[in-house]
Amino acid sequence: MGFSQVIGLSLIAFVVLSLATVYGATALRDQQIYSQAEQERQSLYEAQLSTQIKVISWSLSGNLLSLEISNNGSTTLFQYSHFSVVVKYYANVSDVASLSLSQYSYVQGKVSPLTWNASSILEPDDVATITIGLPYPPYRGLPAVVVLDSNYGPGVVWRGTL
Amino acid sequence: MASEIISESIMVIATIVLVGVLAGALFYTVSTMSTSMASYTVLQSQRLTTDVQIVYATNTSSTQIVAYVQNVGESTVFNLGSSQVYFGPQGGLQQLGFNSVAPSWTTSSSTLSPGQTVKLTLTLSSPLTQGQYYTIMFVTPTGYQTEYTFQVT
Repeated sequence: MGFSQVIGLSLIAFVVLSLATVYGATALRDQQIYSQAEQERQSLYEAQLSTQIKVISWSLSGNLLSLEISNNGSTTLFQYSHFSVVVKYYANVSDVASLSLSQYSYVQGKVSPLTWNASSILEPDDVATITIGLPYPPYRGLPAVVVLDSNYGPGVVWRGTL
Repeated sequence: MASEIISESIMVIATIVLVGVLAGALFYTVSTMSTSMASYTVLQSQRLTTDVQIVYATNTSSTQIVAYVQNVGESTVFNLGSSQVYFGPQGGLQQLGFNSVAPSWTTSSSTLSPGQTVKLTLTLSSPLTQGQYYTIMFVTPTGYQTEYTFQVT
């Protein structure tokens, strides 16, 4: 075998090994990313399946609507800032029923219009009260809807007459 | 003897050049493949960790619908305007244009971070039918879709 052939075969072997290394490293990294995503998806599914909220009672004081909710699932609910609260009701604006549909933001302190807070975190089998600050007092005797969705997705819909 | 050395040298140089050209082409191909694989993996992982839901939707007038979309996944949905929104009675969904003439839809935010909720406003060109059930389908730019059916009040 000539010297040039030895050089050629050696270089080809080096190139093939380098390419295999690059390709293998890429495939391994991609597999790790994909596995991590699958684990996160699995965790989210489990949390969604284990989350269940129920409204036990409600009360109204001025423009503050309170809902007593129970955690009937097995997840602890505490990331209230990632909850979604939407209220549809008829507001009493100068004795005229005016449709109000808004999303409410979570606050830790005192509730103001278009905000809500919770009395405590919701451990499994625990009960907490959420207080919603309506922008106007409700027009009495008209229907209302409160949607409370947890950070995992499952939530509760309350429909009633204020 | 001298001619053999010269010819062998020429062969060595030619071999190095040929292997160099071959290596360049192969590295380019593998690099392109790796980039494609990485992009595909990132897209797939984003799809796996994306989860959005329509929290609530209702009509606020005979030609306007408001829907709230919550991100309950782990990935941020960027460029919400590139999402697709379909609306119509059950079995007759039609695509709505983004921020255009009716029927169209707009959003309160261009991104949807985990835990965030955005408001979608749909404007129709013809009035809704009272008591009829309508469906909204929202498809993220990465292909995740969710839908919500409500009755017009």
